[in-house]
Amino acid sequence: MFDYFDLSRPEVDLDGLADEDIAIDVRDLSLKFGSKLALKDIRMRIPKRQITSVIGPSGCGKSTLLGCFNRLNDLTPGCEVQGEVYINERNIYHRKEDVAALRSRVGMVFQRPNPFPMSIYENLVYGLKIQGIRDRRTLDNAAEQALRDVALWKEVRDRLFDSALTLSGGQQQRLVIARAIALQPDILLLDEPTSALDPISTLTIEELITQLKEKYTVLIVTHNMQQAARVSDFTAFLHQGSLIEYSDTNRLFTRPKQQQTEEYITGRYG
Amino acid sequence: MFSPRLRISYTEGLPIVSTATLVGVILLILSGMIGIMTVKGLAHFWPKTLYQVTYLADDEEVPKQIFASLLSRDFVTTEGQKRWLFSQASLFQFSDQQHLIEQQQIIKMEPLEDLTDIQLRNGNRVIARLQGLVEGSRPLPMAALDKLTEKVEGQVEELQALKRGKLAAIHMQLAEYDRRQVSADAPARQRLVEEFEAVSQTLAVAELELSRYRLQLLFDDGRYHELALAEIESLHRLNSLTSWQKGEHFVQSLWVFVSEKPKRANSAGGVFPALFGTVVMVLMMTLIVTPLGVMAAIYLNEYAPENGLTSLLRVGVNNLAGVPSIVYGVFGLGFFVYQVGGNIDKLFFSEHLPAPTFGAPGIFWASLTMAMLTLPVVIVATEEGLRRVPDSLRQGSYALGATQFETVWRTVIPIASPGIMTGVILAIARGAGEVAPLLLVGAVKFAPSLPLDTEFPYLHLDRQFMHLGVLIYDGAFHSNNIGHGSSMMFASCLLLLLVVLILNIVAVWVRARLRNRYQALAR
Ligand SMILES: Nc1ncnc2c1ncn2[C@@H]1O[C@H](COP(=O)(O)OP(=O)(O)OP(=O)(O)O)[C@@H](O)[C@H]1O
Ligand SMILES: [Mg+2]
Repeated sequence: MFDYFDLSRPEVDLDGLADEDIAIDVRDLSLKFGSKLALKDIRMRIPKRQITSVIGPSGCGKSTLLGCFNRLNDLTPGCEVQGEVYINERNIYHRKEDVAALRSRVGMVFQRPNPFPMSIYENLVYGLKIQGIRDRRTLDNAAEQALRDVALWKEVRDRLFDSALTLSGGQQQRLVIARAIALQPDILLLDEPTSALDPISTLTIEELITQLKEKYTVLIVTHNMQQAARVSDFTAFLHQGSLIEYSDTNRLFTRPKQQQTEEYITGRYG
Repeated sequence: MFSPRLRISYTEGLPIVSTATLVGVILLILSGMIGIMTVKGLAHFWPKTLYQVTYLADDEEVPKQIFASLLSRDFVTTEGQKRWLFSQASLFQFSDQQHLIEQQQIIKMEPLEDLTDIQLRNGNRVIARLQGLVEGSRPLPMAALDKLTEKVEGQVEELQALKRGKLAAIHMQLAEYDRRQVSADAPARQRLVEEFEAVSQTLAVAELELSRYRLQLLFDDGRYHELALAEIESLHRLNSLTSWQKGEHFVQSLWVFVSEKPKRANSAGGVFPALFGTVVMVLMMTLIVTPLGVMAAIYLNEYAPENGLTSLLRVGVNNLAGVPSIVYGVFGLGFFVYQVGGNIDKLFFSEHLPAPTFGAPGIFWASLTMAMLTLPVVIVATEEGLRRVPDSLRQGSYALGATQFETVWRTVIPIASPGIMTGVILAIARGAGEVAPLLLVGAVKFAPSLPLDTEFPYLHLDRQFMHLGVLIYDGAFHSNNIGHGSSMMFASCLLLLLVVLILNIVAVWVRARLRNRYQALAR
């Protein structure tokens, strides 16, 4: 497992980061689905232009945590949130927050690729059209750039107006990532983006994620610890809705502080 | 005997056998229905041989003679005697006469070569023996008939155009003078009167000229009559037609049927106004019901909170589909026509009162009533379509910054559109066939003008209209016209089936295209 680490990289202390290097500041966040407490007092500072992975056993609240950053949890009936999440120095849970605008700045990619059953092109410009952009050339350029970013341009340049459903699973997943980054968001939330893919497609997407870091703050949920180790700079370990440990990826995987973390990453977790 | 093997095959076989039987029965019923409509409907257009029938009626001593076509051999008296139904048509009666004659009483039936079926411009039909063609008193060769008919027809049309154009214009002008109380000896007025007389004169001369061309006809009661060619609309020597000509005649009468106005209380001529009225009503109904139904379904499925009230609403919608259609008719009359229409009249058309404008049955109220009737169908089908849209797509849309409205408008509706089209198809099928409510809210047996024409404002929402279903209903009750009226009924029925079929094919085609475009994966 240690092969995956770039041990030459100096470890970063999260507490030492300045406020302007922080993309998301989560303060005492708790979330309830009806009577079930899904997140408990989460406190977390997610650095800008870095890749942060979220790991933990199934049902521990990883997707729910991600859904707090673009307020997609709001769509679930009976969902109740306490605490604050600051993005760009604004509490996104403030009652005057424009949720649709927030979601255009915080992109999300789901566990299963969910392209719209329309053309590839329509998928790419969907978010831009919602933003009111009508200029054909702007849309074309944005679509092309997004496809190039996810290394899909060469594969689909001749079939932009075919249905997105004709793409393979891996291509679809890259398409929905492209769809999200076409909006040039500040933050990209990836919920198990490779869980439905074969090893080759997984590699392509992992490479893509490491490149995305140059422009975006990336949060990635994964069940695959090698993947977390390979791609991320920081790692958070969640267990039953609580944030057990959160630190530099190298440190978390080599010298975990908590026993629960160690049990989980060494596979001894029941 | 009851080996397990046998029992298994029996229990497995039973559902297959019963399904097959059921399918067979359904197909049989369906094909039987369409078959009867087609045969009986199309028979209306096939030229029928004309006979000189000689028969001895019960209480008579001398045989009678009629010129008639044979409509049916299927009638049977209570004593088991076969009776044949004939349709006689002579110049001196208003409409076709039906004769039921016992088979034994028929002495002779001769398909005389010179028997002719003549359609007059006044709508009447006569059957007579064609004896000759004359100009004034000079006989012309029969061979000249076709050419002459064509020529006369052209001139008649010219004269009619003159009457409708110039003469009518002068009339209007004179009426205008009357209204302005221009004195009778004003020079302008006198000039006009002179012109009027001149034109009338020309017309009279031309008409006289035309009426010199006459057909010499012999009727079944022995009377002899000369009929001006100008009075004749069409003329068919049915007995001397070759098969090819019969085919032509068939196509021609089919065309007349769908393209012309009805004549003689809907028992002859065409059904064009009814066809037109049906299509316009159904299209208007579709335009009204689709947005209403789709909006209601979207509210129920996307916006309404999942609670008791919503379920109650849903149950209500489902039950609306079961309300007898006549109830909708009564509702349409009581609410739309009297209530809404009456108030519209009071507000906007008060200068015409007490004559109602919208406060009377008309095509708009009929379309609206039918839209109410088909609303549940559209709502249920649309909701079904909406439910099939995977939630992951809704989330995908929200995650790209769409509001709920944008998500519904740009993602949910397009993907659910095949489901919506299913609702529209069902609504069209139901709306085109329903007659009972229409009778209350605007469909009539005879309407003088179409609901859509070239006269401003083109679409006359307040007009009454004709409907194929109403015509069928009417045809079925045409007692004195058993034969002809009922064959019109079958023909109208066939046409109605065809209209529904075509509207459906269009809708199914649209749905197939939408499906192709938005093939949503059920994931
Ligand atoms: N819509 C919901 N209603 C009620 N409870 C929910 C809902 N969504 C999630 N939960 C609960 O919240 C907890 C966290 O769920 P979440 O989906 O965040 O887990 P996860 O860590 O993403 O799991 P996985 O790795 O399996 O995706 C779970 O116990 C789940 O049962
Ligand atoms: Mg999850």
